[in-house]
Amino acid sequence: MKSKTSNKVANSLDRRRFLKNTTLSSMALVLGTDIVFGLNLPKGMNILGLEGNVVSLPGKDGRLTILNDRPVNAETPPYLLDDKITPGEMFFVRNNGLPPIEVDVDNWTLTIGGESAKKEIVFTLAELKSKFKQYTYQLTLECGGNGRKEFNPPAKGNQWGLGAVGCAEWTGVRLKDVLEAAGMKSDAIYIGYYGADTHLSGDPDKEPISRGVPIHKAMEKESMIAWAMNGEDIPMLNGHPLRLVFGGWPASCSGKWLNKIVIRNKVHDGVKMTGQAYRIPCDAVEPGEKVADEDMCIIESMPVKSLITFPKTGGVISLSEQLPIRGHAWAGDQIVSKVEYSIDFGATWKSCEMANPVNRHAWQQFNAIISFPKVGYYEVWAKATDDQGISQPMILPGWNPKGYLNNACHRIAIKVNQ
Amino acid sequence: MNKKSFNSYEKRSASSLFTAISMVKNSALIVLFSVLASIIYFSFQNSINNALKPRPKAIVSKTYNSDSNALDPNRVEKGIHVETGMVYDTNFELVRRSCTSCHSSKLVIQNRATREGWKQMIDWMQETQGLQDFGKYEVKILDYLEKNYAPTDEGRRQNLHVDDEDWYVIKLN
Repeated sequence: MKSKTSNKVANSLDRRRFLKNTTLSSMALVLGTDIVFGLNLPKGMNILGLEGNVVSLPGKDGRLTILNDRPVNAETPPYLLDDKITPGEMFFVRNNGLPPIEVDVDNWTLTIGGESAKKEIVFTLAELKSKFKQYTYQLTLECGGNGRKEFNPPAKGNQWGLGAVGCAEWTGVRLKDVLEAAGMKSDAIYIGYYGADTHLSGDPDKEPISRGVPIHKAMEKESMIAWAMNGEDIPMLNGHPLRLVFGGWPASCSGKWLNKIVIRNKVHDGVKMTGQAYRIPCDAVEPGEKVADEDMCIIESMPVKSLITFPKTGGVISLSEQLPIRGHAWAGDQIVSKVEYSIDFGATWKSCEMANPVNRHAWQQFNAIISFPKVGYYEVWAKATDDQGISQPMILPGWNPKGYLNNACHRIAIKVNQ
Repeated sequence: MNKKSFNSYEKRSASSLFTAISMVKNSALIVLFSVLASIIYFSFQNSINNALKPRPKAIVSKTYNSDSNALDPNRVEKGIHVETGMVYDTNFELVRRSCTSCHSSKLVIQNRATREGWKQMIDWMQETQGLQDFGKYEVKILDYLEKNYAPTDEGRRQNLHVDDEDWYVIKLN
């Protein structure tokens, strides 16, 4: 490290030392955007590196597991997802860029355009609320990479465990109604979104993410442009003041801080629609195999899955007690038809009681009461099956280069004492 | 002092002259920037205040200085640099500085990859995220990552693991 200061690495070290020795306000003036974030941090924090342990995120419960703080990515431990409707402070966060600095709700607009729109049309938030009929649905959103952590060989990126999923009650308008107001040409096959978040590099010409869905998904009655979650403003980190919500598909389809929708005559080619992002091999591959971009297919409906939300893993009970278990199950565009549990590592399965979905794409509750035959270490496994007869695997499903769609059954550890 | 930390200690002493020079330089820079800053600030007070409206706040538990319970930024426990959670090994400082000026060290320590895999991640950040070219330092960065964050064969599914202190008695009504 004794090299010339003209070296780029050394320069950035200098800059860093300089920052640490300067007051916050003068740093702000010198550096602009870096410090916009930094100004809100307690004094003394290591501003550039953000290496300090972030203990809570705005509007979020302090017990969420923070995987990354720039951009913010945080998941919810399963035992905190016990509510039928996931509260805003428990809803996971998967950001690709930096949320907008300032949200001016009164002047927020949504533009509908694109080559397959008959005309470009702009709505204010107030117009969306007054011109279109409002709907409320419970819709499940799950990150395409939920469960990535378990893949072997490991996949790059945020190592999501179990909790990048939630089901909230969303209020807004049907995307279908808004698209029809703009008018769609007959060659329309896809929609894409743009949001007000900014690329991590700060470059205003770069989009952090711009994905979308085929027209048939966009036209479903539960496909929404939403401004409220659980009867309140959507949390800042989840897209306030406006976002798309497509239940059952990778949550990255549901654009946040939404300000533009384009109607496309081809598959939308925005950032993270192409290459390997949110894609899996069209045909299954051996673990670790390299897959060419053209052999990767876009993920659509998510697979059947379930979570045990009570009890928390690591529970101890006595042999004289019966253990109630409960949780949620969901299945992308399908409905879950049964949930079973096993206490003998999958050798035998027993049925759980389960509820129908409140509406399409809402997760479904299950419960059971377990009697353990003798003392010892147990694992309780839950396995959901959808209405097509497709179940969760007990070991990892098909390996894929980016580590998507791990729906292996959820397991919790229980000890039964005398 | 074990071998690992001794190596790093030597490195730090070697760069102390460089540090002293840059401190003097920095002090001059601070004065200059403070004057400039005041002028700019008083001329554009309103627009600057507007531009500085908050992004979502993060609350941070560990701090670099000031308060009495501040954590020592150089503390190493069981071979782990406490503040970043990174393995304290040769080239640690270089890797830390190269990676955490843009993103959290959490993103480094949760990933596992071969040397080639880490190289691909760096290439991707350079191509799409505006990361600088590391020049001759790239080899050292890869040495560190390959050695300390290599993949292990986890099989088709790992055992469940509960830490001893995390077992709890389930309260039933």
